[in-house]
Amino acid sequence: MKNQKKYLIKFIPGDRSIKVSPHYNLRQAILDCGIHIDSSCGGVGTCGRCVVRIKEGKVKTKDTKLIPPARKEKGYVLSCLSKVESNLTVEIPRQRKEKAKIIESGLSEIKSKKYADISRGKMSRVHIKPWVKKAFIVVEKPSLSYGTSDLFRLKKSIKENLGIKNCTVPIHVIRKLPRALREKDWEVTVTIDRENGTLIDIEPGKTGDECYGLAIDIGTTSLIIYLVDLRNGEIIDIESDYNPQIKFGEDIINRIIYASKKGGLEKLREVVVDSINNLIWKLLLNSRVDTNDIVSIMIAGNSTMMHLFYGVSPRYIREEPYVTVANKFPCSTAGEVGIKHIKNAYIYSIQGVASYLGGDITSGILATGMFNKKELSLFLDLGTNGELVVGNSEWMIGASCSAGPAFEGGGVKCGIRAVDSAIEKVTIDQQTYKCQVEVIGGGKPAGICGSGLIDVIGEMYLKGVIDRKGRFNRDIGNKYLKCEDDDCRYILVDKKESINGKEIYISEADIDNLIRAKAAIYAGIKTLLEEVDLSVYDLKKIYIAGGLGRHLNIRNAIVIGMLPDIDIEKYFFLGNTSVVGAYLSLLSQDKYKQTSKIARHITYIELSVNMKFMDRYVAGLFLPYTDMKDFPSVEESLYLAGKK
Amino acid sequence: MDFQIPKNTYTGSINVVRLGKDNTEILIGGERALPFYGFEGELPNKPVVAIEVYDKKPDNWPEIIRKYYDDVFDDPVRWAKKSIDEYGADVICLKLTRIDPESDDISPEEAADITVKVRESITRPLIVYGAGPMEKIADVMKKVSEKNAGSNILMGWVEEDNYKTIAAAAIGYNNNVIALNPLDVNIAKQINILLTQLGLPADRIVMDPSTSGVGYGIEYCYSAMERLKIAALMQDDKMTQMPIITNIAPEVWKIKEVRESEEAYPEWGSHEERAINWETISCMSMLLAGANILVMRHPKAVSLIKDAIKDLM
Repeated sequence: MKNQKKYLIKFIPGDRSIKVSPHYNLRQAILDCGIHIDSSCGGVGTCGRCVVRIKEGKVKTKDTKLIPPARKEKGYVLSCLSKVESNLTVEIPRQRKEKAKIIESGLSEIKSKKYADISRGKMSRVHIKPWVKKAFIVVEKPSLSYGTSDLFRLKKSIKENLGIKNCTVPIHVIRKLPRALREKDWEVTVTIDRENGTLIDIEPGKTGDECYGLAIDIGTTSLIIYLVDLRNGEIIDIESDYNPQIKFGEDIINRIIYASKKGGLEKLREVVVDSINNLIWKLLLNSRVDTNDIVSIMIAGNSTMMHLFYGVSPRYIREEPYVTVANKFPCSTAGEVGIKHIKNAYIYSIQGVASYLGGDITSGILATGMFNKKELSLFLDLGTNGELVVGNSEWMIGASCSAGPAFEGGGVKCGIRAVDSAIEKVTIDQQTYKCQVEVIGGGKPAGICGSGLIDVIGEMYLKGVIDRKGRFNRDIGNKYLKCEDDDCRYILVDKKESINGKEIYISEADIDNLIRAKAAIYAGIKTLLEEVDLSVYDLKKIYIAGGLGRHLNIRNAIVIGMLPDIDIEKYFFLGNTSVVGAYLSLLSQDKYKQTSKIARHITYIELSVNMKFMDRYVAGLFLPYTDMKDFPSVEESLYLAGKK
Repeated sequence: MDFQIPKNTYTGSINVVRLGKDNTEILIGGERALPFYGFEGELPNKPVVAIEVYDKKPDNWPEIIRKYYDDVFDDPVRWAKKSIDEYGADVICLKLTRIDPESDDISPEEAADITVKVRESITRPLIVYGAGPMEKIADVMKKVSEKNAGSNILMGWVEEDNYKTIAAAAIGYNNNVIALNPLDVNIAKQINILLTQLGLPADRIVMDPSTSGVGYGIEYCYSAMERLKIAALMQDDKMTQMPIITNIAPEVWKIKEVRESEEAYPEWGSHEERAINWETISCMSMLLAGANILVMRHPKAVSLIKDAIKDLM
């Protein structure tokens, strides 16, 4: 038998290496080695991010226009288009650092007035009645004349004291029973899931009523966890991080593709669970909360994220007719899904509506309270996917408009997520075309986040830096515009002013990506409303959720044609509503039950097969929109600017 | 009771574009009703036929079309004259292929000189198309517009991503521009908006919504044109009121059924008859969809189409 030939690949910097078969895909080899490499297209050669440099050895690579000839000569290739043909030394260019913490609607934000409107304001009316509760009970002693089992007497006492009939006691609790009951003379503290009638834990004596829970949002891009005191609803601490699945594909579709590969599903499940474990560990360390006191976990996430978290194949979400395996996953112990540290806590998940309208949206709707109101509202979640729901207490209709990750920094060269050192606000001087920027956390900027990108496009359009198609006007004497042949960049921040010595700019390709994203969002809104014979002028409130940044300049979002041209007072920017909904559900059984009701209440519309949606999408590939009639106030602004 | 033909009312009209000047001038567009609906509104200017003239002998034309132009292939001036005098072209559509770096790579100057020579020796208006990379076409059209200043020639073509140079040349030297779009009403409007915002008067724009021959997706072209005309006439949408040109000859003449000989496919019958029918029916469909200018190739097809226009108007 012939020996299977293998080639050795060394990666620099660092000292990692891997042996692979001839013709093996280089990007796959990099991933196999556990090295993070950007690739928003999932490895099909269209995003140009997985570029590496071949220092020694030979690869067979498909020609691509994404690498300039001069760099090709120096050995740069797209790893996804390259096959290994010899032993190699491969240089991995420094990836953009994304270690910084996601700026979330953190504690301070929640305490701020606007947020209070939906969380704390609501909170006052939330009757705190969590699923899981600790209770002190006394169990009857056995005797020769009363020789029933420990378990029987425990259940009897629970029924008499807590009104829960025939509660389920899992084996791990039964194992603790004999000692726990006798240690403090038949006095015990039980942790019990009231809704399901399940005994979660038993401890000897009176341990106090300390009881905590976790509200978790698993987003395509980020993870966030609230540690909550279940007695009073206080948020003790918040931790967040990137979803580590990003390196396997930036959007949902690429994750699903990866999950379909051999071992892919398990890998994706593993990395997200690991990351959640790390965050929980940090919360425990910082808060000094006892692991035994964390009793319940509430999870919200889009359908794909939930499938991956529970280790269920999301494959059919992507294939026509696009169905989920389940819209709601059953509750289980944390240990069963791989959560460490707090294995016995119970996990609940929020019910989704459909493949592309998941529990994160249901949760968001709960947070806004729009399902309780007569007035017509629109809920818009500008996450990696872009979902929208319109309706009121009587009816709701929802859709997903696959806007892509542009507003979370994906597909935009200098785009980053809303992290420290991200540019969140931009204004352009009409005379000099110089940019004024504001940076999250102060200091020097590293890139631009969603809210900054919306500002950039809006300002560039209003100040005449770009035309309505998003092409630079080259003859206006803009000295911050640098062109090489067809490739133009508008320099927003000089390299001296940035954190890493590189200039921060926006190119026509970036603008294209952002215009496509905003076109999908507006087309979604318009099409969905028309399905129910309404117009944007019928809307009384528009709630906007998503990790675009801390502040969103609604006016600029209207100027670029992403949001309908209606009274700015009707808009409410809420940040991450998915985790807020999970938080409310964690505290209140009633709220949790409402999420299922909301999910069943929403009628899902598939836009991907809707011709009108496509038509409006193309009309939206223009600033603000092909038909100016939709944006009268923008026309007026331009007219006034022209007059000056 | 007598039967009354139900009539639509129209709120908009198609722009009138002037091609050529003085004795060569013709008007296109101006209709106030859907194509050939003369009973509903005025149709002041009938659709016109342009015949293709190349600056170089085409190397892939089948014999059945070559034979009509064999004696003029080496001279675009004579080719243009023959197309007008013998085949009845209303307009000449000159296609500059030698500018392509992969062909003769002739300079913008030289190309512009050819267009001037042709224009000065004919009594019909001139359309000029460039073939090659967009940057070269733009350079050439700049010169072409300059050297034909004020002659109201129609220059092809501009796209959304590449309109500024040619449009500026048209504005500077008073010529007209063809705005190409990929079978899409929204994109058609977007180009027209961009062009007018640059300062090009709306009545200097002719739209080309892209086209194809019968059997190769012509239904799609038909409905795109129909939507443009309906938006222009019934919704008075200013950015769709440009007349339409369909550059259909190259599309028809690359189709297998038009190119293959009778020897290769005896069951398809006479090659020439088949080709003429194919071009005629394709053009007829485009006329019914609202084409104002048809760019054609086969003299017999031209004659059939011109007869049909006469009958219908």
